[in-house]
Amino acid sequence: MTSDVQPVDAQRRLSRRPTPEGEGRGGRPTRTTRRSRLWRGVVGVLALGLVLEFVTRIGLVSPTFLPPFTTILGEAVDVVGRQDFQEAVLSTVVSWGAGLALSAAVAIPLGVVLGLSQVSYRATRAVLDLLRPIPPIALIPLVILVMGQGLEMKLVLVVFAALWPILFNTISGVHDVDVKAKEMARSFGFSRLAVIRRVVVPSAAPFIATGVRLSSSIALIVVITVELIAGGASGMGTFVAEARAVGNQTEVVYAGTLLIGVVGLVINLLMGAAERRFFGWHTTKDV
Amino acid sequence: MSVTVPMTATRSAVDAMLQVEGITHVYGQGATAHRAIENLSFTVGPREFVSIVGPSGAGKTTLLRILSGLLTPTEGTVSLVGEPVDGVPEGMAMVFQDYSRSLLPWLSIEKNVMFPLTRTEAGRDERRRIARESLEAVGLADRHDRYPWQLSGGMQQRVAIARALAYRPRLLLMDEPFASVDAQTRSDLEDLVLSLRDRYDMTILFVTHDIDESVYLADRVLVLSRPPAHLVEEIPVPIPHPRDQITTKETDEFVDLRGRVARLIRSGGQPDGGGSR
Ligand SMILES: Nc1ncnc2c1ncn2[C@@H]1O[C@H](COP(=O)(O)OP(=O)(O)O)[C@@H](O)[C@H]1O
Ligand SMILES: [Mg+2]
Repeated sequence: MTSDVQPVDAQRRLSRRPTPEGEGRGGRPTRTTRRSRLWRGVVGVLALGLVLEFVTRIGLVSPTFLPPFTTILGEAVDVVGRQDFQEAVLSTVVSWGAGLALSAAVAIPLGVVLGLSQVSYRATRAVLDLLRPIPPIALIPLVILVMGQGLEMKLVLVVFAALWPILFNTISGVHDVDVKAKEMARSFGFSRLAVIRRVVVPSAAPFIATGVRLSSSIALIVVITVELIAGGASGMGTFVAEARAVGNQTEVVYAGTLLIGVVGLVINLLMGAAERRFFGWHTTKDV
Repeated sequence: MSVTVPMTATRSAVDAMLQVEGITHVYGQGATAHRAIENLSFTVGPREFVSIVGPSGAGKTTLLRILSGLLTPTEGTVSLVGEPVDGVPEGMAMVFQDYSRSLLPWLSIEKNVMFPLTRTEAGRDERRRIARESLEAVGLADRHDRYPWQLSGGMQQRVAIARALAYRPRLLLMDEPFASVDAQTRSDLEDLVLSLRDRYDMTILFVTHDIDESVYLADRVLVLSRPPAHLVEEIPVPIPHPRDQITTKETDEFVDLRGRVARLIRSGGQPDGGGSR
């Protein structure tokens, strides 16, 4: 039996993402392009920094509004060392993580049920369509009124905002599950519940993961926003808001904002890497 | 086997592996209703290899879905070793036509083969041992850590067969399993299935629309009519084993049998053999 042995490499060369095998042959070109993209990004940031530095040094902009880039960088290093800032980072990351986890815990089971049952989907459709367009920021006063300004308030708002990508991705992921795969599992005597656990959820997992990645960015935006405008909550947003309110700490405001950006970038990179690591099979399966 | 069957029944019905009685299946209702199967009855004996041939759209897949308990027929009963089939029965495995869609892309080949065993008592090591043995039986032991999309169509179908073998079925249902692989691979897979039948002591019900294939593999060929499907004729295939892809197909007996099956299919169930109408 040799006729059906196709060159596996030919198939793999077509794959756009690294294979979950981890041998890396299929993955190498992609990894190289990703690295060169990273370098281009670094060069871009450096160029922007140079321009900002130049503009402030020649006095085109008042340092009260925009301190020189090197000053901001120096300040950022100082800020990173401050304990109150470290606590703020922890508080923000905990709110983000807990909010995202809660969103997933609500949206994934709900999405599986709505994805599997046309009846329940149609029944809830109107409610979902009504809730979804409400900007979560608009709910801040209401939620503060009901829950005060603590972690719960942040979590409620984060969940309300971050729920949707996970929910709708789960629903379409579940819709996308091959009926043949489900039928195969049933033909081997798996119960309906086992088919959901063993076939439906794993098959929809790449969609769900994409939803979680999208929700992760939204969750961070909402956490920071809530911290910025709803003073009482602690976090990086609160840190920046206070630096602005308490005296003219322009450098600290810039440094804090820069660091929020860095934390956001790190979170996004980690989520993207995790998605590629665990769900690489998805983009390659139908090559 | 203490199955109570009338004495007038045929030999194979006395100790039937599978007994199909008066199956009718209608899809839909009212004006859009489609009669897929009409009063179909047949019996398959233990260790028998039975081919079912019929034109495309005859209702062959519908029949297999009924036999495997995935679909409840409008009328009629199915019994496996005397027990009426109600839901998915134990001891029955199915190999689907659409191999690439029936394999799970997020599992390695070995994990795919282990998949049906995760429901059974077998421990992890035992499951792995059975999976390795099944993969070895289809000649894919060295690919166990690959993923389905890294294999060719013929290899994917062999994985699907290994998965069915790992389940240790008494009855193996195969739905046009080789319809979309190339001719050489198809011959190889046909011989593989014949050898596995002996090695694993299975009863096989093999659906195909390929006349040569139906005769080459089977002990008996069931010819279905155009829809709604009913049994046109049962043709025993008394060609001895082992069979050979070249020499068996050259024998007068084979040529004769394939001619008979072809004529029956062309007539579509009309006894006068008059083609359409
Ligand atoms: N779920 C279904 N609903 C309605 N009609 C169906 C369904 N499945 C199959 N059919 C119809 O039943 C007939 C027989 O289909 P099938 O059993 O797949 O035939 P075969 O496998 O012999 O080609 C076809 O006309 C097909 O369109
Ligand atoms: Mg079919």
